Formats: sequence, C-alpha cells, structure tokens
Amino acid sequence: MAASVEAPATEVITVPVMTEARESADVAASAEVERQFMTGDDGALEALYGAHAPLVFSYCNRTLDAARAADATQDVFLGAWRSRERYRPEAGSLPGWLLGIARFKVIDIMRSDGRQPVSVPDPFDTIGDPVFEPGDVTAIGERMLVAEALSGLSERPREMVRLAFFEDLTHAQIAERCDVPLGTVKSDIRRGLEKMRGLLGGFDDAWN
Amino acid sequence: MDADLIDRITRIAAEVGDDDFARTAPPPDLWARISAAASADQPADGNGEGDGEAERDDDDVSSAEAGVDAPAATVVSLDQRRRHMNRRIVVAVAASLVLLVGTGVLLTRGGSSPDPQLVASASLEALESVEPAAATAAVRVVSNGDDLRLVLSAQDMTAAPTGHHYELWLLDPADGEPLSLGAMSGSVSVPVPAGVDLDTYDVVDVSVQADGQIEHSGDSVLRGTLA
Repeated sequence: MAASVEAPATEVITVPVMTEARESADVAASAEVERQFMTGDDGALEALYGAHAPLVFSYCNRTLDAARAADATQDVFLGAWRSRERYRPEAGSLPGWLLGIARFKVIDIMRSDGRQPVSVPDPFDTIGDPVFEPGDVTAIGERMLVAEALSGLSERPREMVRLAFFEDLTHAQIAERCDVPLGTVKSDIRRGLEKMRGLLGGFDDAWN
Repeated sequence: MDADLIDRITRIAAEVGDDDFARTAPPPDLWARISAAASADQPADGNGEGDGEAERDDDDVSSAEAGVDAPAATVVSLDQRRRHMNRRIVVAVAASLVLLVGTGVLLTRGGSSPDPQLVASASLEALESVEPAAATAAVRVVSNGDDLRLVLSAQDMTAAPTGHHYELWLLDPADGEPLSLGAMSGSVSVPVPAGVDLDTYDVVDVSVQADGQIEHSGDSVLRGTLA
C-alpha cells in the first residue's frame, strides 16, 4: 500500500458553470478559509494557498517572469501567514488583501531588479521587458480584482453588473432590457458591488 | 459613500480585458516550498511587530536564489464561455474559472524529517447526497516519520444545511464503529490518531451532523475506501 510520493502532483480542474448554488457554496468556502486563517488552524495556510494561489501567482506573473513570480507568491503567502493578525476583515476581503501584499512585493522585486523606477520609458526601446510603473502594478491588481468579483457571481448578477459598470446602463434600463424586476436588478448589483468593495478594500488595506 | 466606489469601479471596468480574467497555475512545487518554510517557523505568537514586511527565514528557498529554473508555469485557460463587451473590453466570463488544486501535500516538521510517504489514498464519491451528487473528494494519507496525516481535497462541496455541519470519519467496515476525525467544511488536513490501523479503518466517510450531535448521524454524503 505504501508508495513514495514523487514530485507533488498538480491537478487542473475545470469548475462547472457558475450557478447560484455554486456561488453560495464558494462564499461559504471562502468564509471558512478566512475563519481558519484568522484562527491559525492546522491546515489553514494550505487552505489559503489552495483557494487563492492562482490569483496571486497570476498577478505576480503579469509583471515578473515565472521564477520571480513564484518567489513573490511564496513571500506573499508566508508574509500573510506570519502577519495574519494584521488582517482586518472589516476593511476588505482576504483575496484582495493578499493581492495588496503582492503589489508591494512585486514592486520591491522590480526595484531590486533595477527595473524601477523608470519614469520616462525609452520610446525607441521596443525590445526587452515592458516597462512597468508602480502605478501599473496597482492598476493591474485593481482590474484583476474586478474580474475576480465578476467571476465569482452567478450568471444573472454578473450580467447585471456588466451592464451597469461596463455599459453604463441605469438600473431601469437594465430591468427593461433583461425583463426582470427593478428590485432584482438593484439587489444583484448590490451583491456585485459588495464583492468588489471587499476585494478592493482588502487591496487598499494591505500593509499601509 | 457608494458614489466613490461606483466611480472607481466604473473607471477600472473601462480598462478590464481578457488578461485580467486569465489565471496561471503556480509551479507544482511551490506549495511544498511554502509548507516547508512555514513548518520551519517559530510559533507565530507575538509576531507582527516591525515594518510589516514579510520576514524571510534563512530556510526559505526561492528558485531564483537557488539558481533553479522554476518549472514552466501552466497557463490555466478560461473556457470558451466568454462574452464580448463594448469599449474594447472583452470580458471572459468566469463561468468556468479554472482552479488549480495542488494535491501533492508534503508536510514536513522540524526541517529534517524523512521524505513524506504516501501511505494510502482514496477517492470519495457522493452517496445519498441531498445536494446534486457533484461533490467529490480526493484523500491522501501521508506519513512523515511517526506522524500520519489525512489530507482531504474537496470539490464542489456545498455548505452544510443550517444547524448542521460535516464531519470526517474513519470506518471499520467489519464492526461499523466510526472514528471521528473532526468537523470539516471543505478541504482539510488532519492528524490520524496514533494507533489507528488503517488496514482496519480503511473507509473514509463524510457525514452531515446536526450541531451538537456526537454519534455518527448515519447520513453520509461522501465515502471511499483507502487503498
């Protein structure tokens, strides 16, 4: 029965279409990850990593190569774990906070690499790494968190949020276009707004 | 008060593109590195002073510092259910976000333990679940010297009904005596009590328990046999 564990296996799993049931399950799972993290339970770091590593690594990898992004991701999770008492759930949600920590880590690494600050990009330098400003690192994080919030919504609220924030429709216009009650539009958008508030709030609150 | 938030989100949304939805899987060995570094930590009590930067242990191993090329990252694609939006925005619908689940769990203690050994594994399938039978779980029992840990990675597990919780058990099919490994709500890593013979207690079971209920409820939702 015993067998040696080789290299850690990685399994890529495709999650089915986001339904309301799945959305509420994800919300419950996220709450549990947060609870374990705050109480420092056995297995909490692993749960935290399992829940949010793709987001954090993807963010780091937007401006850093894969090896540097992995190092940054490692520092983010260890730093968050060691400083977990500084997490303030009332200020924002955990994935946003992790990405906020990652923002400073990425900027630090870029500076230590000599890639920052570069206030005036050379317009003739079309070869090599793209030039990123700290502001770019922040903007990428904000965009990824808005995307993360949308991804976490089931289909109807996602569509409501899309119409409100990407197409600038009023609530009444959305209700008419989608043929749903105005109250439903408002509650769906409120749900999306709360998700985004949490993610962006955590991003802003990280180690300020 | 929401006006500022709405302005901010509207401004951000105008710039959101496909790249912002894409998720790239971390290198497969990254969790093992983090786990090893965390295990080498002193107890975290009392930490948190200082400038807020993450302290680095000497034991932390970074691939860049070690001169080791990180394995090429796997690009985790979103599925094709993407929707077009105006303003040059094409927002990939995250209807099928792809998650990475690192199933290789290497828990080391003390920094000088022998290599972890996979002692047993099982796939848990839904039984008479009240939810659609979508929930599954993969179980690994890992030995690290004297310690055994049972690591359960759950998928598609919905929250337990109000007033109830999930509980993880080992069962002995011969006498049916269940051994509780504790409450759970999703993926967990728990120690296997010393002296438990996994050749006897070879069935891993997840039940729905009314809060406060100590005995196995008989209402199992996931079950599988270790091999």
